Amino acid sequence: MQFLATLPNNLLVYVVTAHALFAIGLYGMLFRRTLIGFLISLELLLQGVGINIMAFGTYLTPDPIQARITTLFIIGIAAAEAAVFLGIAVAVFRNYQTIAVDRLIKLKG
Amino acid sequence: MFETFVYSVYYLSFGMILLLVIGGALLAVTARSLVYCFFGLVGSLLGVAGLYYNLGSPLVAVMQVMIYIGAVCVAIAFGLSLTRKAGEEGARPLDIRVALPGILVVAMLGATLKGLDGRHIVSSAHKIDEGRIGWMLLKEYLLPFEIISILLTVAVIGAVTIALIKRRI
Repeated sequence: MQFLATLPNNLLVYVVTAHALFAIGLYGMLFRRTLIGFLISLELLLQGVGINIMAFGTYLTPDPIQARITTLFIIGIAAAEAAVFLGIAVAVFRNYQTIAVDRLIKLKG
Repeated sequence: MFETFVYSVYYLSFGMILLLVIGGALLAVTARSLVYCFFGLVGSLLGVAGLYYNLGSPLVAVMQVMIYIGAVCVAIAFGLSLTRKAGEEGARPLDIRVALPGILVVAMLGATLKGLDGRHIVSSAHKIDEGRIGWMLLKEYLLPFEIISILLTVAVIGAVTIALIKRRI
């Protein structure tokens, strides 16, 4: 019980959670079938990175403000990346009538 | 008595946040239908916002909810409804590559813990004056800030242009 009480304020909890999110995102990148599934997995990967940066910045550095600014930049870049990715997905769907990555093989030799 | 109750609610809510993060992420990568994946992603992002709040940063938590759930998830929902087609959702059958993320991430975690050895860990997440973030964004971090704004503009215009292409790519 005493140990449980220290968990919300423990660096290891955040680091392990972030690494678990990263692993789940990698799994999704390998095994999803469609481009939208890729995008969802990519967001999970970026979440893992963000939690890691916030946790290390909060618990290891005397001034946590740089970690916060870095996380804000990561959130902004992720928004830009999602917009471009969705534009590409819509364009691919209009031209090929599918977004399954197994069937997008026009460039295959 | 009352204090014990408040603290137990706090620990319980922290456990629920962790459950929301991991469970939502698992739902997002394993569900058959992409709509369930989408809701799993929303739950996971909400849980991450809770983690940010717990790390002592309400500003980043609010930004997470506004930008990810308010903008990115709505965009994903539109993309989802524009590109859905029966019969091509769901995950691939598992094969040997399923071990790859596990091995990679365990190695990363081991390296991280080894690097943490001997570092001085601040005992608690301290509250800071978050108004300073605005000042720092407009002073030390002015150039990255402006570059991000240009990047967002270019990305949105580029996305619209790509989506409007008529000819075959």
